[in-house]
Amino acid sequence: MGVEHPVQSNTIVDVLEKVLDKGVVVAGDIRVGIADVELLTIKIRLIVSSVDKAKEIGMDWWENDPYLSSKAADQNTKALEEENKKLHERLEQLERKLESQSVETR
Amino acid sequence: MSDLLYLYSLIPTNESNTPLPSLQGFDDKSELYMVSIGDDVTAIVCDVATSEETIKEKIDQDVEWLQEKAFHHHERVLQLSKLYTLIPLKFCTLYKSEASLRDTVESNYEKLKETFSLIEGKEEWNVKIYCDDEALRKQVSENNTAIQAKREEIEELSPGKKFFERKKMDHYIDQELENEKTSFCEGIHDALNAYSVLGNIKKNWKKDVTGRKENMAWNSVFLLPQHEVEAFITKFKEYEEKFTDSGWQFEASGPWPAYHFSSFTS
Repeated sequence: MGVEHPVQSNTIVDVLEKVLDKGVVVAGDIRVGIADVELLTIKIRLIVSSVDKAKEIGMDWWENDPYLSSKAADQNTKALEEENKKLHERLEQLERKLESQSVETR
Repeated sequence: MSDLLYLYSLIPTNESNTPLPSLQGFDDKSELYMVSIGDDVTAIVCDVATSEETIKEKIDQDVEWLQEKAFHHHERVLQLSKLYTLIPLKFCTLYKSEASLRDTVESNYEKLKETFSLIEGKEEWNVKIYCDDEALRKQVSENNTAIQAKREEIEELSPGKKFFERKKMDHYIDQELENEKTSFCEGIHDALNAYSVLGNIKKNWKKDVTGRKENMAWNSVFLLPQHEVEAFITKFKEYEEKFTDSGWQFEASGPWPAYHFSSFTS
């Protein structure tokens, strides 16, 4: 809330949106495509802002997520799309769960 | 493995006499340096000892690496933007050689110069407005006279009809809520836009992206002349004080490097 400066932690989403999605001025020789900036932002936000907190409440599912693991084998687009869909669903479930938990603890 | 050239920013050459501080590059070994291209444009780059394949692999598969490097990119661009009028590049804009970088910059020369004059002496600011939908829905439902009249009408109907009319009514309230949100935010956007040379409305992010309880109702970005920034913030704070109690939340951030206002397509 209020006025913030771009170094503060709650501007993570802004930073990612800008550096991953904007500032397209001139094309490089190497095109690095980031297919789903939103999904990536969700993942990174979770990593950056709440690793410890998430672990506390057992929400460290990404450690076993093949898409997030550097050891993962190459996957084709279809498999990724399917996984994106599942992740979205899973996040929604988790958020609902979190909301109901926070209601209970109040 | 051959070296690649990582491009962070382009600056006007007439500002390049401000010395570049010693800044670590994309990996541990490299430092940022300047490459002047033609008379007017200077690129700020670093060497990266890696290959195209490695970079692509990392981006696809290593989210923590991506997070670290994306923030490195942001940090460097932000540091440089405090020193120079600067066109920020997208994350991982890489060239195979200096000759190739020169070619690309030269083929966009005029557009780059126009962008420099657009963004010189200006700052990019973001404004986001969040809304507690439940609270606002209640207000809309209670204060809208058309809704009140319709509600009284429904009470006179038979139970079967009541059910369907209530459903319709809920839908109508939802629409009114959306209209209310849009017109409220548009009003604020227009008022703030008066201080800017350019203002863009962006997509609202979903809650799973922002990680917040409230819905994002508005997301916009402004290019402000430096001498207008203070007035802009004062106006913003006025709105914040006035409307925070009625279910709205305001967030402004800046100054950002001009990511949104230097993104012409090459």
